[in-house]
Amino acid sequence: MSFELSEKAKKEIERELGRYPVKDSALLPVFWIVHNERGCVDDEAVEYIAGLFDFSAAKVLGVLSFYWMLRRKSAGKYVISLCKNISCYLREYENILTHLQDLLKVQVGETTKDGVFTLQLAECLGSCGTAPMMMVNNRYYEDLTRERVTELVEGWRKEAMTNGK
Amino acid sequence: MREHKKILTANLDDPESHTLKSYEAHGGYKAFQKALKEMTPEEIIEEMKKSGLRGRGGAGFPTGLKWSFMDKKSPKPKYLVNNSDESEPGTFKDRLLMERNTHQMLEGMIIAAYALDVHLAFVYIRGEYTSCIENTERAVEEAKEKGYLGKNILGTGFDLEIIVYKGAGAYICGDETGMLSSLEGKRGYPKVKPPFPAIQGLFGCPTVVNNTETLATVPWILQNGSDTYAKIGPEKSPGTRLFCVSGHVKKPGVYELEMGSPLMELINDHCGGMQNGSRLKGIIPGGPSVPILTAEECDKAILDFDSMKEIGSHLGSGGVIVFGEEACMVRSLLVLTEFFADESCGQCTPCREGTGWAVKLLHPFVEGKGELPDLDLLMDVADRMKFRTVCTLADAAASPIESFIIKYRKEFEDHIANGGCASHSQTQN
Repeated sequence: MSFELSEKAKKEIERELGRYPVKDSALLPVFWIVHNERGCVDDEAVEYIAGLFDFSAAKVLGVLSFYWMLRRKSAGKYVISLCKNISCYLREYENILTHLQDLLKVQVGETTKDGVFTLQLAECLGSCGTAPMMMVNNRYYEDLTRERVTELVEGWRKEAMTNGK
Repeated sequence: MREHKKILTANLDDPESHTLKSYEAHGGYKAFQKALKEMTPEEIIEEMKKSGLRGRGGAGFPTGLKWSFMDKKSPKPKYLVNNSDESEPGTFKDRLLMERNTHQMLEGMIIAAYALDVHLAFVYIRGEYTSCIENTERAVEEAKEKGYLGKNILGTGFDLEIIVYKGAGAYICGDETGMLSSLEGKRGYPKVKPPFPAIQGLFGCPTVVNNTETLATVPWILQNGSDTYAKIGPEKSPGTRLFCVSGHVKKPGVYELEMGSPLMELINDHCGGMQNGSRLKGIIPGGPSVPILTAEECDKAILDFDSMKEIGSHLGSGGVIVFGEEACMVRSLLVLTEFFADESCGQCTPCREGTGWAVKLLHPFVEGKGELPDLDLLMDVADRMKFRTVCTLADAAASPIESFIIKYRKEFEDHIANGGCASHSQTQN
């Protein structure tokens, strides 16, 4: 498969490349543009981005791998990041974790066979007053209970079935 | 309940508080007009010094002094970076400001930029904070349309552009030099100081990095006067502070209190006390980078920078994490130590190795296979990673290890004797 971005993404990249006093600053924003469009920054994307900046692929990979939110391989349609840090621990996020594992039939780090859900744990997401919480793609879901999680997961399942993956 | 002055949260009852319209209706965007039209940069810096405002990111460094260090004679461009990479566990106050009081933060940035001769400023927001990023981008657009940002602001000849920069998930980018590395398109490695950013910061140019809450306080000080601000709270730690309370309290959340308030006033009066009638076991008063306080210490703890230091902790990030009797302190320490191990950037050996080994040493205690000499070994590991690294992450990681083992040693010993966690509700693992 050849690497191709949408016209919209190309335009956004063009804007970022000319936006900063030093072009290198555009690297993180370019990662995000590619990530938003492809769901990850894979090896082809790394080569492409290295070309934009005249960096080696190794340099690009070095920066890319520093940040947990940037994936190098595509994941499920809904990436569930459940917070495991102290405030969520005190508010028993582990009950939510076992519930999610039961509902999705996956372990942490895995994607469901139908490709709809990926389950992962995250460090503090700054939602400690409303713990336990999870980030799904880029939205926060707070004050979680088992019931609410069931509802949410069912809703996403339905949505994935109607809209396709 | 005792009344507290509100500097940062006065108008947050308004559901539209994040909009320019609401902010102006409540008297916003007057301070920067006064600054740009009636004050010199030197006068503003002097006001900030006199106010006694200390940085709200964690270190509590005097803001006016930081601004005065900016190398004004440098022929290079100068930069301002708003540190909105709030990632200290238990801390969610800057999020509140970005979501609900966005323009007060921007107004503070405009004033700071004018005082520091900055024409390009950045808001570096952690990538996870989508709503904050969207709000701040919208607020920047609103301010541009109104002529508060851009070229020749209010006809004064002052130009300022603000760029919202989205992080991608790394605790260490909240360190000011880690943040600069990240902004430069590199791995977020902290840099050796000196040179300090005020001399050689972003792209090698003079740079000031300020926390979001600090910047949001600036308009109030200019509008109401440094004297008025300096009179709130203790002399050396004036003003109000946003405290983020989480854990085993009835009403967790962000509370704005005057500095110098008793910690237990925050917990009992504002947060409604402990949840489910639980008994207090301890409180981390400023994010896990600072030592925990036992219940007895909490009774005498006062919320300001110097009082906290006197009882052996720090005010830190304002992240107040409350542990009830049901909390397992052994498991809690593992949770925190795993965090620091995950977030160590790996640049310095004592931190990279120390945090990793601490996790390996703690696991057996949680699993009920801990051995007594390993407690001393853990203390030794903590001691050996402190003060030997480029940034303070290693010192931060040592802080819970030392304070938990010293103050809750019996719980660790009980885990050895009982083959795991016998007396607490959270016994998985």
